[in-house]
Amino acid sequence: MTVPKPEPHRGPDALTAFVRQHQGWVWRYLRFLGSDAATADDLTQETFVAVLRRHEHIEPRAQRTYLRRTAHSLFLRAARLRRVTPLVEEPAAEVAFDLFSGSDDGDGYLQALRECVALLEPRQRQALDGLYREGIPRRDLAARLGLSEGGIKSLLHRTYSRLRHCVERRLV
Amino acid sequence: MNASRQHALERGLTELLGGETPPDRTLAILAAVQRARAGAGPANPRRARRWRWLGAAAGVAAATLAAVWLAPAAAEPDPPGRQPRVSVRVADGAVEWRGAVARTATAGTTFEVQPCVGDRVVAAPAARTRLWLNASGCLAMSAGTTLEIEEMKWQEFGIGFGSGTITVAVLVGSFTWLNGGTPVDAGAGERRELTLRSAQLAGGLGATPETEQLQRDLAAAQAEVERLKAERSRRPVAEPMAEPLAAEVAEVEPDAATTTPLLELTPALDDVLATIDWRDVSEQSLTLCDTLRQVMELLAAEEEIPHSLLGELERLKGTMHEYGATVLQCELLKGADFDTQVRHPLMGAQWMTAMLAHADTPLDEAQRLAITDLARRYTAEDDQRRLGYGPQTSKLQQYVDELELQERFYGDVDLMLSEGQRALFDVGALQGRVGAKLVGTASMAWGEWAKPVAVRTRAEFAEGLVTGFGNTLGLDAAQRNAMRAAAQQWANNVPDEWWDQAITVLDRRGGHHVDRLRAAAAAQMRFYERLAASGALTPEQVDRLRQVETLIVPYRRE
Repeated sequence: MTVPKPEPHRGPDALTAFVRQHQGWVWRYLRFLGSDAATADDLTQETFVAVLRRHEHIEPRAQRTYLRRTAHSLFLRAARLRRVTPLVEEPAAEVAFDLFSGSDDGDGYLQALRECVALLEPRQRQALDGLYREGIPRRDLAARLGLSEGGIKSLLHRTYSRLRHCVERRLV
Repeated sequence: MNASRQHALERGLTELLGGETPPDRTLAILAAVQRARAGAGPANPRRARRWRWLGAAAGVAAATLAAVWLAPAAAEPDPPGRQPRVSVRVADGAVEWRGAVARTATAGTTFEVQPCVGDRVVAAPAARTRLWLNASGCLAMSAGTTLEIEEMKWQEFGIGFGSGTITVAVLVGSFTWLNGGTPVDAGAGERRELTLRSAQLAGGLGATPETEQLQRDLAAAQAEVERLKAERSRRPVAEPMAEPLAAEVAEVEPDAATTTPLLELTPALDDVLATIDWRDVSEQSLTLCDTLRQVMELLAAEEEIPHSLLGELERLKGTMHEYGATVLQCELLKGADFDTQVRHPLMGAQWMTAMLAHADTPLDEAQRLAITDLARRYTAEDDQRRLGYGPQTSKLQQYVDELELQERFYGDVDLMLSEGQRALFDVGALQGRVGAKLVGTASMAWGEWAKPVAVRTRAEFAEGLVTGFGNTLGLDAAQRNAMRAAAQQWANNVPDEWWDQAITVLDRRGGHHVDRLRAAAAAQMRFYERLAASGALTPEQVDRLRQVETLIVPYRRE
């Protein structure tokens, strides 16, 4: 998918287009920072309200920065209020989001990942399916695959490593 | 880096295998934005407040408008087909009127149209356009503005004149409508009712003293528009963002003489900005930050401030005043005072940029772009704000508006900064108080005009008001008595919790709670409103009242 060039939003239709264009990646960015899905919903909305409440036109080249900075600040504020410690260090999350997003809001990364997952060995695929599709805890997953806890950890480590290299080769 | 790669991978797997994709919340977000905008009222919410207290004393112009418009408001709307003819004079720019018959006109020309629902009015794409409609009101549109007529109500009075309202929706851009009464402004997505009189009345049938006064008010409004336009011509940036920033940036050559990256804000300022030693200003500002931090923390702890620290503070303030004197040469806002110019969004943005660069936490390109955009947009909003003022607007109201705008500007800039950058400007643990931030100085400015008044009782406060304002305005005994009721009302409305704690050293030194200052300003404005409505003051005294700049903040004295 090609990302349409951001245009200044003027008028109701343009406003809708602006929100539609950016809301997805803002939500995803908040998830990268460590928000749970419900909080990301709230903060995405708050981000747009904060940005659009008073201004009709945002310089196109500044739109992404403006939204991202605002989302970031709101995330930190929410994290402080709820005394939540982000799971991932902030700079790492920022770099991860940039890595994932690339220039196409993550479509390229997801496509590469899809292809790489298809190349995995059956056992590796089973482990990922159990973990991500079914949400099975690692201990139960280990039992299902007949592995020790150390064994599942090792299997996942190899799987992740293989996927990372595969995806990054494709992105290059 | 490995942590980032792993995080990206896990997020990708969560989406790919876990089926978690960003939900489409467009409609919910749009609804929330609309609610927020509706809750904020008009585009500039303070404009309504600003004029409200003048309602009773706005003079014959407002009375004329009320007399002219109240009657038609109760009348049935005119049936279609009996729409009035409207005379349109293009004062600036150019306009295309897209109706049953399309008309295009440029500055200096006049034409007549018979407006209908659905007609569109399109302003020139590259310049501000001003139209005089029936010579009874001025419609100032930003470049590229498109309006659509949504509704019309018209009443003919059968003696050669009529009046009515035209409801217009802003499809693109923004406009301000001046007709001698409360200025009306609107931005894209908003709709407003414009009151209009017939050409015959404007032509002289109603040449009463009231309408003559109205014409004088209109002429004053036009003069103000001209003045602002002249200022704007020296500051091309003041126009709303109509042209792509890239084009403007490409035209501006960076100044090689400065080692500090200047924001490309306005070419007109370049010469003066280049004469400022930004390295020195930044270093002094950062030192000032540290010193203020120490002072405020001592004040918060109710401790004595060493004379050496106070001396250092004064020295640093002196340096900053030298910088401010250079800023004044820019004539960013002709006639505006020192503080207003130094804290102006354009200067504030540049100052912060320089400070951050010299503190080794420079803005990245994206931040520069975003902050430049904010500075430009707030400058445009600030221009609109000034456009709405008339001779009847009090100084205090203007300061309050200015500070509110700057609070919002610096608040939005704050959102653009990283944690490290933000920390640079924090002046200590004084959350919510004046002086909590060095930049975002609006909160400091609140303190400059605020005068803490420590009293034991509400009655003492009320009496102090009568004495203070009585002396300032030169009131006689009868007028002071007439003022007493309004003063007592102000005193009675001081919140109970304000009396719970006596004035502290921090309060005395200007470290007020910002919320308290806002509430105090609102109370003082209501006091003005009551005084003006009481009729106890002469017009000269009312004028003098409007010039009072001090913000009175009551505290309990032990």
